[in-house]
Amino acid sequence: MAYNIAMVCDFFYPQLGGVEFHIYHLSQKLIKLGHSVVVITHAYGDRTGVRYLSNGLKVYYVPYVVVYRETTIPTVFGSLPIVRNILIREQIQIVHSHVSVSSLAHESLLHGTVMGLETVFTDHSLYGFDSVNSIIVNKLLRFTLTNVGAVICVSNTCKENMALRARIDPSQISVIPNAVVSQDFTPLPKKSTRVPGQITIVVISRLYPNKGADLLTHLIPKICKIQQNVNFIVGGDGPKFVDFQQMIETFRLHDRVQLVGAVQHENVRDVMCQGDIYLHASLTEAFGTALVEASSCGLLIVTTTVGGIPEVLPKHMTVFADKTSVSSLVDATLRAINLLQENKVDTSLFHSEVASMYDWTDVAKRTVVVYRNLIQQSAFKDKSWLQLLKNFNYRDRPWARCLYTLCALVEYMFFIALEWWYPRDQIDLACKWATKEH
Amino acid sequence: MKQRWNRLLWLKQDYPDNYTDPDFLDEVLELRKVQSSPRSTSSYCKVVRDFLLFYHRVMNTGLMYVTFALLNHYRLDPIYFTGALTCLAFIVAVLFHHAAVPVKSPLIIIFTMLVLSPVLKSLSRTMSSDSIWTISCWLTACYILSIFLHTESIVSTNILVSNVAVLASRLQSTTDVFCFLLICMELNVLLPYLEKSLRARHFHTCYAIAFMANNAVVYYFITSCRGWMYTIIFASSSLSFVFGLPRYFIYWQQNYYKGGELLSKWDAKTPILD
Repeated sequence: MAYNIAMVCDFFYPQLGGVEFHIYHLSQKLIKLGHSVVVITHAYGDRTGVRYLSNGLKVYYVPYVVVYRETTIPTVFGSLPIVRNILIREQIQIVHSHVSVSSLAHESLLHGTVMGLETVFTDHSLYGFDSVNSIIVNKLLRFTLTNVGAVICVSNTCKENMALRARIDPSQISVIPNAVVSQDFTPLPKKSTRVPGQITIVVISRLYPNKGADLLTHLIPKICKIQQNVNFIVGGDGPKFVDFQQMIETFRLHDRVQLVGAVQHENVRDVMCQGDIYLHASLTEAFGTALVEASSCGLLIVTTTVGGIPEVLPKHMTVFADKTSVSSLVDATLRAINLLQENKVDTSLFHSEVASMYDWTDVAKRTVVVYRNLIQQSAFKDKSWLQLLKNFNYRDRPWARCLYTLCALVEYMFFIALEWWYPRDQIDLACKWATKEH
Repeated sequence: MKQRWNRLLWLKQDYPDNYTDPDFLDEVLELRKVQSSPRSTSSYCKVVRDFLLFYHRVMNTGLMYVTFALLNHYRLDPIYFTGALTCLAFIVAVLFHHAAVPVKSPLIIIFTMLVLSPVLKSLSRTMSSDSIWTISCWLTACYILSIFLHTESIVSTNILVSNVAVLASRLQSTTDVFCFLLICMELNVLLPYLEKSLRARHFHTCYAIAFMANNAVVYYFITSCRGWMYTIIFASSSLSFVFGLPRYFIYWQQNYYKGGELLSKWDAKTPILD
């Protein structure tokens, strides 16, 4: 059975990133499987209104105020008129929201629930429990996920984090990892152009403290000192870029370390293929798509073991540093260099192995299973407004509980007002993009 | 036999996607146990005592306004009072330290104040009184906040002096300004210091007398100036601050508990730069 699905997230094309690619590829594969998908995001510059991407993927760019790093202003109810309109126009059955810090996604979950639709939420990152930021995000999650149908997380670590943050029954959360388009990450046909014995280590990451930039600036000089035939290529930009420049100046590593700056997504493969080892020093990671991409390019992976990373790749593709310390990472890097120099590891098979492990079609099929279960269960679920209100009331501590119930009541009233002011039957239904029968 | 579940994403396993790691369920049970077990919080009495100390500092600040009103509104001659207070301060200093009191630095400070008084008096004369009251109100709020945040910092004294400087232009004469400045210093810097050392030496009766006297002055002043209504409002809000708020504080301590190591598992790791 084909479903009408709305993917909602503040982050989408023209911005590029892990989440954006996830939504895009998942939508494309769902369309291939015969479902109808629309994406709802906020307007990017003059990119407002309805646009089509490949294969009839319709994107609604809603004109909305952006407050901070492409996140829209959180208003709880403000997006109801337009989101309701789109959901009715497109005859949506399933509202699928992405990312905890996207207010549009949260609000749409609430609107979807009130309209009696199925709701799914996917989270892509890990959060703590004791910083002010994470407390606010967690409270918000607890509110909007009160009546959510199903949650998808990208790794088991992410799932467990989610279960505790939002107080959701773990059986409601499915683990469906990210994937890579393995055709876009093919290794070089033959590594004959390389100088024998010479090893290049590639780092591609945003140069932020939580990506382990400090570890890297301490590690690179040490490795360069110990191993004379090892060079580095560092891709990516960020606040720590200056530290890398200073490190190169201080240790006079101009001909050993190449700083290439920000790398466009389509060029990532070309940069990766210049190296033999991919070094990942991140301090927090839910999944680590870069690791999968690098191993798909035939690189040996050296990485920390934070978050979901240990789940991602088999042992023979990775060398783990068990602590997030410079010495531990140096040790792991030297082990990896040894493995390559003594030809103890065959990286030529990595590409095909990764291609069989991570595939977007597989991700889409597993997501459809989640949808199907949800639709099947919905017949037995009490989705009356009174029950929803009760769920909000049982959810949290006294203050939060009052606030949740109040928000839900206002949402109901707003919805009733809209039904009267702009009735359903006056909203035109959108024509669906014609697809071939499957 | 069914293969055991592995915590791996790359492996295709014969388990549904919503399968949960059994180890995690054990962890959750343990976490719930830790969270539901009676947690040690600060004792109510201790929290009340801390709130009381802060309240006392606010009362000390209140004395400054009492002095200002006496000088500005009731036109009191401050010379005898200032002289008496300063002598008292010296006597107390001698009694407490049992040693040679450093006379030089207090004298330097007093003479500096004397020299500065005419400047302070004319500094904000052109401003309207309403602006002065508003600025002074905000400076007082900042002063209380700075006491709350850093008890030992010099910032609070600076804010106090600027508050006095703002208020000084409303006084009658340069002598008044000098006396007001000196009294404020003695009441807001020396008095809290004295009270602190009383507590440290376990002179609880003396401290209690100081506390009661302070309250008596402020409440008598409020009653005589604004009437009983204001006193009741002020007293009841003080009581709820000292005895009610600590309850809420303890409630927070109980319910916003980090959960120890179990919950810090997902925090970003700290880099060890060895």
